Amino acid sequence: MPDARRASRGAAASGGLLAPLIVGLVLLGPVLADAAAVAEERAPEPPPGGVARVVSLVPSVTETVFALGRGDRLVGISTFCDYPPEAVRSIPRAGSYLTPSVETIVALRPDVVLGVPTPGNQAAVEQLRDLGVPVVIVGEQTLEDTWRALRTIGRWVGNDDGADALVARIQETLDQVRARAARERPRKVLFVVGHDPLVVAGRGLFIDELIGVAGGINVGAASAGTWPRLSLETVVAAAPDVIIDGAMGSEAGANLAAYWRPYASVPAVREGRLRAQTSEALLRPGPRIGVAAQELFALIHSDGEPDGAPDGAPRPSSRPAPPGPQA
Amino acid sequence: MSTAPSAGPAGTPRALAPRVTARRLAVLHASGLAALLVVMAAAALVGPVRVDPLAAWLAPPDDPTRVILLGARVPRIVLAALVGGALGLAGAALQALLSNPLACPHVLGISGGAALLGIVAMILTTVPGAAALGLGGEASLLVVPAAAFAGALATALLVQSVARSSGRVTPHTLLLTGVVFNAFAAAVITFLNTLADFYRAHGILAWVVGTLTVRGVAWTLAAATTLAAGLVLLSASARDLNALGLGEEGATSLGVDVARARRAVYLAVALLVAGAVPVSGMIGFVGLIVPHVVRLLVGSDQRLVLPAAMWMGGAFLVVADTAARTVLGSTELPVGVVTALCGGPFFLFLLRRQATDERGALR
Amino acid sequence: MTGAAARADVALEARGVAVRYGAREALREVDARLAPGELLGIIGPNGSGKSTLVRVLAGVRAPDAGEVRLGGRPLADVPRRERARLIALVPQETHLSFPIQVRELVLLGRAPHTGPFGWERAEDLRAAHEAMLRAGVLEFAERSVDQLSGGERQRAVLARALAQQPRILLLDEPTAFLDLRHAVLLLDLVRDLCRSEGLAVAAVLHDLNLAAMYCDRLVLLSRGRVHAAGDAAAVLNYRDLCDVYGTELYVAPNDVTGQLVVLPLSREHRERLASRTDKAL
Repeated sequence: MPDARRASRGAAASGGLLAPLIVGLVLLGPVLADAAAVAEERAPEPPPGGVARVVSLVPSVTETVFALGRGDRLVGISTFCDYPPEAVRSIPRAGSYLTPSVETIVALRPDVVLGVPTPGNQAAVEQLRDLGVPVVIVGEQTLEDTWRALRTIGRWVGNDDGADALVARIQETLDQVRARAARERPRKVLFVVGHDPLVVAGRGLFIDELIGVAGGINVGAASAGTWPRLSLETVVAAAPDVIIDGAMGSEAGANLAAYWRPYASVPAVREGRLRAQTSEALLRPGPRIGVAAQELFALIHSDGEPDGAPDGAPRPSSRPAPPGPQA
Repeated sequence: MSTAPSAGPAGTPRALAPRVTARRLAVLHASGLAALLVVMAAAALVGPVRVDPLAAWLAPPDDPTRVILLGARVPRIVLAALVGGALGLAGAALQALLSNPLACPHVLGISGGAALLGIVAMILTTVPGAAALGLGGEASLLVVPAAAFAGALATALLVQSVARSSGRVTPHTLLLTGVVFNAFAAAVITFLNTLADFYRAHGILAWVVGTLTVRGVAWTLAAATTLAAGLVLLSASARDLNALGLGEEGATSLGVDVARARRAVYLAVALLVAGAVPVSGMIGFVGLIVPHVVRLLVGSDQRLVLPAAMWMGGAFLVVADTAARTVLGSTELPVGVVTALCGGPFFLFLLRRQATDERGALR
Repeated sequence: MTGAAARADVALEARGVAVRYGAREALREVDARLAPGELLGIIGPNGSGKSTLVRVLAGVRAPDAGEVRLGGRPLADVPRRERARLIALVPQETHLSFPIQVRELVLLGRAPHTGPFGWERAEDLRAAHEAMLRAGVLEFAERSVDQLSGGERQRAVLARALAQQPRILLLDEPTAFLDLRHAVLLLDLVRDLCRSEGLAVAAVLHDLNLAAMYCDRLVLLSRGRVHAAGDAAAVLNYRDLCDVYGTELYVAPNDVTGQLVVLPLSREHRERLASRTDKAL
């Protein structure tokens, strides 16, 4: 499960709050919890050298811990953590990123629990803190948040230098992509994460920043909100050159073309730059952000075959099957 | 006022004026259609993007203004008209059948049942392997409405049977059953939501809140077909629904097969809801409000109320969706929020008025 | 009314009818017969099964045992709509889900005559008009039924029944909510219909004096059984009435019509009567 898309789920839910409320569909309540309230306050400080037992609530944190060479300190991860594929297989699961399992986590006797704000984990986080388990919630909206998060995680797993180096390496990759993008004509990009309604990446998100790095202009940034629900006519009027559509899931290809066919005036449709986005890296504010920028560059500036990866950029890895209910 | 049976001016022609004839009905349909078209035309002029309709009409096929008008805006307006018509018609029929001014497919949980099975079908048609079973892709056009139909019909019968087994069908029992079922359906939908692929989560929530979704011409045609079928079926039940205004026994004494009339109405309502829900989710309050306004305009004769509720329901949802499309600029509001904002207070008003009526017992 | 002569032989008959509501037996072994042109009164104390008998005769409730025959045919075999063209029922109360005009209510009586779409033909409008004229509701045809007085409302409901152009009219306590004048006017009208149209009428009546004055025959029900049946003089005898109603009554012919007057007595009067009888002994 991609980290970044969860925020848009919260946005969609709160937009529709009134209708269910009035009919008395109170059972929707849990979905509507406000993610933003779990802030980084009350964050404890790690001992020198970090701690030995770490539980990660989200894929991006898990990836970061592995990238810092401290995967062996992970005693529990979320059911959605799938990268690096071989390494995560043997680690116990401690609930989904929406609903962490408090009991499982306590039983794992972690020295720290690392996560990001999600609509579903707020209560669990409070409960863990009440039980005396240190919980650190890192930010993940912007690139700046991500750098800070990588360094915080580095301190907790006892690899501050590794974290600084990782950030430097990613920033270097971003600079390279930026340099290549400077030679290309900027293209208007629509980054779709949901259909019916159409939900796109808006401003104030690392995706928005990465699109900029990769030589794109995010048309979603013109609307209010981090995950605006755009009307189709606004999209037609904005006339994006590239549509990166991650909302089609496994049946991408043909359905993607069918969905957009009626809007032939859109350059992305007319000129065949509909990209089915299948890479997890693009949606995780973690160590693979550099890779994500390269992928975005390829998606935005390649012509011809969709998903093409010219200039030696890595071909996006295929997305794994959606996570099912965990036993 | 004279009370002698034989007194009074004999043979006043006004009492002889026909109530409903084919011609009067044709006039009603024609004026309803005309009014709806005017509203739709007006709605086509409004949107987050400013479009000159004449220029857009004359522009080449891939001109952006033409695509905005004919590719994005008009299909949405047509869909709003069809869904609103179906909901208005279904609401009017249910209110007449159950003699309950608070009934509508949403309040009774019929939309919830349709959404529930519809979502299950939609998820099943997209899981890997569905295509191998012949359920994927284009087949979902048949599978999803069929599942929604089954869900709507099953809920209608369930609500009816639960309400009846508790003895007399009181309006409040019926509503309570519907509300409880809605809560159940919402719980299951939320449950599915947490299981489902993240990419589909938005779509599922859109079903619960009510969002008009242009899925393509075939889906719109499906909604139009079920609307037409529902209209014919209900028009043919209008006489029986009028008689049911006298209560079940009164209707029976007038030669109405009450059980058959009920089946016909539930079938029609399930068809209407099955056409509407896959392209709009659970839009509330259209079926509740519209019949009341219609009865103020044309009286209580179901032969007139039913078609009028269809036309007015269409117009109402077109207006509501235009608001949903435009009030926040380029960001859309789910149309279910708009109808709920209008309908919630209205529902409370009706509830209050009905309580007053029951105290002052109309004998 | 049209077609009266052709259906003059139609009569309604209950044979050995029993009706149970759960464990409670509302009717048992009830025989009743209704002839064309006859006004039959159904009398009896509360809970004796009067309304149930009317509902069974109207065919809206099937008997659990026995049968109802319409013109020699089992009523259960008569198609609903045909039955509704022959039998009209005026229930004790008429609830309306939505406010409708008097003429709309009356036109509902045409439902068994119109097609499924319910479009009225000229003859339907004529029948409704005639029914409103007879019931005296023409002058408020445009008014909403829920704005009518009790008497007006009852006449409007009667007009609805007459619009069905039935051969048999079943009335369940038609005078329940009417004052004396309106009660008499209504029953005058009903008896006129019997006499002039050959309409067969069965009416549940609470008021035994009205029953004595208007009805050709009476059926006295007691606890779901027929206690007595026949003309007023035979049924309204002191002993039977006191037994069935369980109270002391005064029964005597009156000076004006020569028909029986039944007068319930207060406790004071009952005691006075008892002491007088004792003295006489």
